[in-house]
Amino acid sequence: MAKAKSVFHCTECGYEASGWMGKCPGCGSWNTLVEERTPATASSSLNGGKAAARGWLPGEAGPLKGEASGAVDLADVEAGSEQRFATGIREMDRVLGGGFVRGSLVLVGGDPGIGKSTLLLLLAGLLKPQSGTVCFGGQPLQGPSGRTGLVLQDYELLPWATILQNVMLGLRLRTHPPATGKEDALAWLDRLGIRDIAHRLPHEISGGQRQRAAIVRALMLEPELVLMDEPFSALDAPNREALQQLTLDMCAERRITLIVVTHNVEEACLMGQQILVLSDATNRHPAVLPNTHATGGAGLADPALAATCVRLKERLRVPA
Amino acid sequence: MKPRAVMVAAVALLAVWELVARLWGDPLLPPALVVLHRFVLELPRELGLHAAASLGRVVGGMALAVLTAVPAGLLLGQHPRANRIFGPVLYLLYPIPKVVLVPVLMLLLGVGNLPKIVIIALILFFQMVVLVRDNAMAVRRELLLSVRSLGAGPYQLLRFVYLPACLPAVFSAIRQSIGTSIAVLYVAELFATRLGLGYYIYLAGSTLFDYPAMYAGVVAMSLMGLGLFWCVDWADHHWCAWSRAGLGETVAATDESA
Repeated sequence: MAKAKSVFHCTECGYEASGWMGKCPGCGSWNTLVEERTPATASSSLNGGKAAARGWLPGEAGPLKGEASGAVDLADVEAGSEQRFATGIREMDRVLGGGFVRGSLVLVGGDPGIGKSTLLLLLAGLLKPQSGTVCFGGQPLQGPSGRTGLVLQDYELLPWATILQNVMLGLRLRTHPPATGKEDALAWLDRLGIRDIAHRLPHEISGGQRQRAAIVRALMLEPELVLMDEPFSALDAPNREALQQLTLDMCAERRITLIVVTHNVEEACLMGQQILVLSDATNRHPAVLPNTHATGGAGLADPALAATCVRLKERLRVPA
Repeated sequence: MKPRAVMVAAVALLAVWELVARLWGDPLLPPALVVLHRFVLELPRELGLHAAASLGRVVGGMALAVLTAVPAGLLLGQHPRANRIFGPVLYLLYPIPKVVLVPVLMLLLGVGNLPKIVIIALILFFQMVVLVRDNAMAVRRELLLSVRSLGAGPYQLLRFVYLPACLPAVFSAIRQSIGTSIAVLYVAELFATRLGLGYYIYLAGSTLFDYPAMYAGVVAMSLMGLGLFWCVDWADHHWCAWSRAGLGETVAATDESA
């Protein structure tokens, strides 16, 4: 797959870099590199460039379906025999419909066991469908592809390894880890404000810090798709809001497609440019809500977003 | 356990021993000071040699147990089918007192060091295999999924997840069975050897009736056990600090999540 041409310029000294770095090699200041999109990147959505595969063009809350490759495609997938489970798969397939996800997609559903998490595992290649194939980038997934990052609710850091070792785990697992791995990891940790705890063990730090580390671990490998399963539900409100925005910003910046599973209506409205409502088998009208107001930065203060919230709540309401 | 507290306890015990021995006055229980004097005298000579032989056998047995039990435990912990077949076998063999097998092992393996090492390894093996298996089974599925999503294959899961997860179990098993190992060592060294603390103690106590020497041997054996215990404790503390999370050691008070 052709690498998208993107150029980063330092706002301090004008240094030009080919990829995002936490620290500017030119003047040494942190977090000053800003991406400048070249025309080649913007127009690559039809010729299968990496940016198109990632499917995110900031400021353009585009449609979910598209013609380009790099798609997540659930062709005739069946993962379980349960009826309600099959509903979720079918809806996902209908929404994705041979196209690809652009920007952020949130799966929301009230009932546990409806298959939200299973869908994520299918997309990650960690679960084999009983029949059918999951396609990613136009090719059937045989296993974890290395292009997908996974972030789960309980962080799932190795309890015996320091935060730095944890976030570098993905690089260590590769046969040829880059020499700059450690600097990259530290730059990432710095970006998320947890550089000072790089040498602590996971049980010594707070839940918010642990989830930041888990996000860094997933993003370190430069994924094209990030899957999150209830990523922020164990966190308190300030941490949750900060991390929601941070996740959206970073995915936009790096053109990562984001799929989040949640049961939280506000989170779904804040994060999902598209919201797929999964309901139980008795609900005949599962639906996709477009949500162009997501990721606007105004949060729930945005009246349009609040309206989406109300609509979503009505859809999810359990009959008394 | 703090070394100073252990020292205080040791001095107190020796004082009680000294007092009881002086009051009783029987040669069967020589005073502590006499025994310690003898211990210091003998250690650079014969006693040291016997202690070294015994220590070698215990450490050899432990090493053999780790080398066999850890792979077996990991296998059983990761493969439910293997566990279904071999679990009941373990269950039946675990409670057999291994020390009764000493004569049989000697017939099978000869009279050298090998049967003594094997019997210690056998005792450790069962405890370790059960603990390692349980720890391997307790590795969270979500953790495995996360590491697999980073691209880990079966070998890497073993190296980066299962092995570190089982290290505390290995140390626990060794710690729990140090006492038993040394007791069995004593029995094993009664047979067909002229080297080892077991032989030394038996010879001094039952043949030469040299009770201070016998007690010096007992002190050497106890110190060996204590030293091994400390080594395992140190290694555990050094490599498995994470496993004591939540026991009030270093948990940060800033954790806002449940």
